[in-house]
Amino acid sequence: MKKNNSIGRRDILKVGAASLPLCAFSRSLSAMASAAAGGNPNRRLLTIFLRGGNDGVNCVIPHGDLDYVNARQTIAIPPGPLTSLNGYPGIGIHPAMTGLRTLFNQGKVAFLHRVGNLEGQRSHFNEMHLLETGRLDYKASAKGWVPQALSQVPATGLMPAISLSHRMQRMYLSSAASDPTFHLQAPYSTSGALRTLAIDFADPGSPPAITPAIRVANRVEVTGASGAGAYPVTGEGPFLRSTIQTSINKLRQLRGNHAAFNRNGTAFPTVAGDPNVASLAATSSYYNFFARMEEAVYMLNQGISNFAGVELGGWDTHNEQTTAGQVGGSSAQGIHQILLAMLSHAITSAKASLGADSMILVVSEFGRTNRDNGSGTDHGVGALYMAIGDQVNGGVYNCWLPASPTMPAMGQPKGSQWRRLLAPPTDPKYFDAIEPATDFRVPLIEIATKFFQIPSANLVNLSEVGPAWRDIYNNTMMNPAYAQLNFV
Amino acid sequence: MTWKPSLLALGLFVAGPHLPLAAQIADLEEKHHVLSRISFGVSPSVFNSIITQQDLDNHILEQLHLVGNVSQGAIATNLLNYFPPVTNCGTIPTGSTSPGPWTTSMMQWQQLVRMITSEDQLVEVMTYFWENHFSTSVGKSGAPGGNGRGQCMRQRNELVENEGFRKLCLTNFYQLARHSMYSPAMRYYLDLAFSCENAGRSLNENYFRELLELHLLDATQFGTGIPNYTNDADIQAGTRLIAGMWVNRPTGNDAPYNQVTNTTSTTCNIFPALTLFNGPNQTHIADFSVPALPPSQWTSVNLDRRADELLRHVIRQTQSKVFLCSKLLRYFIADDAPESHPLLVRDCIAAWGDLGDVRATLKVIFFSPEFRSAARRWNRIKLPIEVAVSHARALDAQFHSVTNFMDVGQRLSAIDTFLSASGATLFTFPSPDGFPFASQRQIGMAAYWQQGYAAYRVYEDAVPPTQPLDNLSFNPRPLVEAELNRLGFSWSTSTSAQVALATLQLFFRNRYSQLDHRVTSAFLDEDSATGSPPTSLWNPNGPDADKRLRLAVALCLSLPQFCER
Repeated sequence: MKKNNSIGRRDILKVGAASLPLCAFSRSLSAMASAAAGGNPNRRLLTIFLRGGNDGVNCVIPHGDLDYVNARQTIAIPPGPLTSLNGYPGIGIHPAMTGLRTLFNQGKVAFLHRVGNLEGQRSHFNEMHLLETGRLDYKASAKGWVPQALSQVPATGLMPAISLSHRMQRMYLSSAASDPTFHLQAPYSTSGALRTLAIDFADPGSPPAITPAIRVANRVEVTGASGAGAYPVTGEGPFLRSTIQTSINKLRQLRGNHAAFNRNGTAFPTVAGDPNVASLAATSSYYNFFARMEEAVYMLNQGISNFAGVELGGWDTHNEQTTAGQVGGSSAQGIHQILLAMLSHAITSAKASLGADSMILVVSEFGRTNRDNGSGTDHGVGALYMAIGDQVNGGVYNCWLPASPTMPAMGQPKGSQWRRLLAPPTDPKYFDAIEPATDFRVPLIEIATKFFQIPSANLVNLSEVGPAWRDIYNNTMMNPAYAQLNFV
Repeated sequence: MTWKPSLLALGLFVAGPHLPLAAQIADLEEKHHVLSRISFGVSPSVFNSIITQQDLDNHILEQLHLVGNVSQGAIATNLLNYFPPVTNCGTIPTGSTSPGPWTTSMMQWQQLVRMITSEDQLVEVMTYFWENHFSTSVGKSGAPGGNGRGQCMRQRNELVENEGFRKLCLTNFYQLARHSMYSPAMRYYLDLAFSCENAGRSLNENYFRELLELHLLDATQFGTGIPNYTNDADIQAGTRLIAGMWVNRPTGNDAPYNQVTNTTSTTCNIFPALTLFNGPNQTHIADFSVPALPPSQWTSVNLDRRADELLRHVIRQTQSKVFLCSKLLRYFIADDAPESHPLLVRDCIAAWGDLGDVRATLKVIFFSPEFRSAARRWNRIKLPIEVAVSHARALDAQFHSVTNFMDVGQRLSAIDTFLSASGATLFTFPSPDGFPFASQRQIGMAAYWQQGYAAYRVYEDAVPPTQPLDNLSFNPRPLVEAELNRLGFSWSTSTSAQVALATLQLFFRNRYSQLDHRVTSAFLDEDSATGSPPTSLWNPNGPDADKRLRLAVALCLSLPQFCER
């Protein structure tokens, strides 16, 4: 006989198979986006973070610069029929990026060379942190720039900003109180057996009811088993329970109303005619990247999100950059070529699916050294960013070539500073690296103000990056590195 | 819901005859807390030993190897004997794809066996700490390619490196850093093996940069206050200094571990980099003066000595001491430990000394009031590996019916699954903990749910025995019964409330809520045999008492506080 007033085991199991694992978080999610104003809610941005420091010089290549072959004796990519870019006779693209080349020739791609931190640091940790927070000063608890921009866009989707990754991306770290973002984080499998929705808040001190464990983690997660409808959760106090219930409902909606959400990436690596398709078959360890890209595109197209972020690691090519690599364990190609083929494939597929109001932004924490180290490249400074979409003013930015016996001087280039990509640096701190011509925040500000059409006056309202972004946007000191590139 | 001592516990607790009740509870809580921090989880048998046979301070000194003669113990030794020795990979013919004696899974099983069963727990904790600090991966711990000898060498390099950390983990930081620098696993992992001055090329900065940013100094402070070793001229000069510290590639002769050659490599015939230091502009790296070394003295011994001098010089910097001491304080006390306890930081740095006395520093931490403070308990989130291992240790898990290493692996398959799902498998591309972008993954609360779900399935009677989680042998009844007795109750006359109290005390001391207690009692009171409505209350002498207890224990191990220590 069951005791009166007792809590039955099955009662608990109705709520969650694991009973009581999860916990708390801050204010109601209904506040999200309510303060937003001014921006264009129909715009969609997909961010791709290339972790490790992509070698931009071997992506968009200054073939017409004699220093290129001299600097890269062992890893230079020769020009060929698959490298030419319309309108840029001295510049080529890596032959593995066939899809991206086609998009470029259609005017849909902006390659932004020499974007970086003017301080010239070369630490993965610092540079990732600064790029993701949009700040120049290191602050451990800083929020990401995406939710700050989101706060100025009247987004109405289920999860206006979402990171899809095996871990949280700081770029999407937010204060849940005002501008929450979501992190779908799970061990991805073809069956999509487990998925966790995480909501982050930046201020570990608020609200006080949060347990010490959550305070340390700075996040709340709600997890659902595939198809089981089981969402184990507990909260502290009616307010937190309500918040978590909202999260559960979001996850349930996503999984229930969007059955097509669970993707395995098979639709992406099947672009016809790409000679690297065969090589991708050997990269099973990176296969999840396609699944995440596919899911991100789905969420953007369905109006679930305005911002979606994925990431791809492996770009720290100190060694075996163009020779036999270990990615996937059996490929005979260099690591860089495989990664570029994957990236190009995913972008091409995503672009084909995304609407005209969407943009893809590809970033990396820094570029690499001009000179190879025998089989790879070391940490550099200026990076290559890429922007893809119908709203993009296509071209190669911040890269100019002088006349040579076989090539006329490039006409008016795009970008803020006309210099050879591999020109000797004007400051010793950029030794053997691409000297940045554009501050890394300029492209972010342009996307915020031009693509999302956030009124510039609203930039100063951004809680953390506002003041610095305002200074860059106004550029009263006429710093050429703060000049807009006009790629949007 | 707040975490505070249960009134039931306060009313019934009788821990011993000598202390007032509140003091008894506080004493047990403190012991539980300390054991949770200096081991991979509180084992009831060790806890009982601390209470009945020796005091806590003596146990700490034993774990620090300052008194007694603690070892890994017979259980660990017997289990580890099922694994093959680290052998000579040169016996594998060139070009053969025959595997070596190890697999990556075996390496992980062996490590888990140590973590779960070794009585030398602090050594295992610190071995993992340094393995994580000087992070390498078995996928890149040797020359690339090859399924036969190459793979064998990568596994051997990783195993040898790990064993070195185990031997040195309580000694001094300089020896640990030196062990890492000379380890083939590290040299390959961060490309030092491919760095040599060769006609102005082939200098690979990866290792030297990470040596400074990850191993010796704090990456997050780079460019924000560390005066030296931050500009790229220093990085490149340091890279030159250690360039050519080669490891023999896996040739047919299977070079001895740690051998450094300076003349046999086909790409680094000698050390022309040294000539760079004879010029007027290359005589120092930051404030470190590179000792002059004429070509006649270019021997591997002298070259090693120069690298050692640079290593010692950086380790002596105040910034390095603050970085390492802070990391230890964060790990053992709390995330805000360095900032909140400036005096303790000062004491730790004093104990750290010139070259990083690990044992002395840990002693300062373990005997500090900050470490034992009630306010510091349960405020560290376990890493996935800590969740998994402490799960097994909390129940004094046994490896039953083991006759070979495959049996050992089969018993660990549930933990393997959990670690794999958490993205935290041992030896495979681990992220060093403690850095902003890496640690977020490590402390992700997905682990909470997963461990809770796993715990439930371990005990759920509906799960068929072939499920992978039902492997390690647990028998919670003796543990709960002993706790009942400590509380003044008897199993044969116990109520569900008393058994729930004992079970929660066993795992959490007073770190549970009234709701936790009610739910645990409810699990004991219901009949779980069928899907029909429950019909009977807890009967300790009933035929299903053990099964009900297992379910209640499963519930406790799925509570969120089990993910804290």
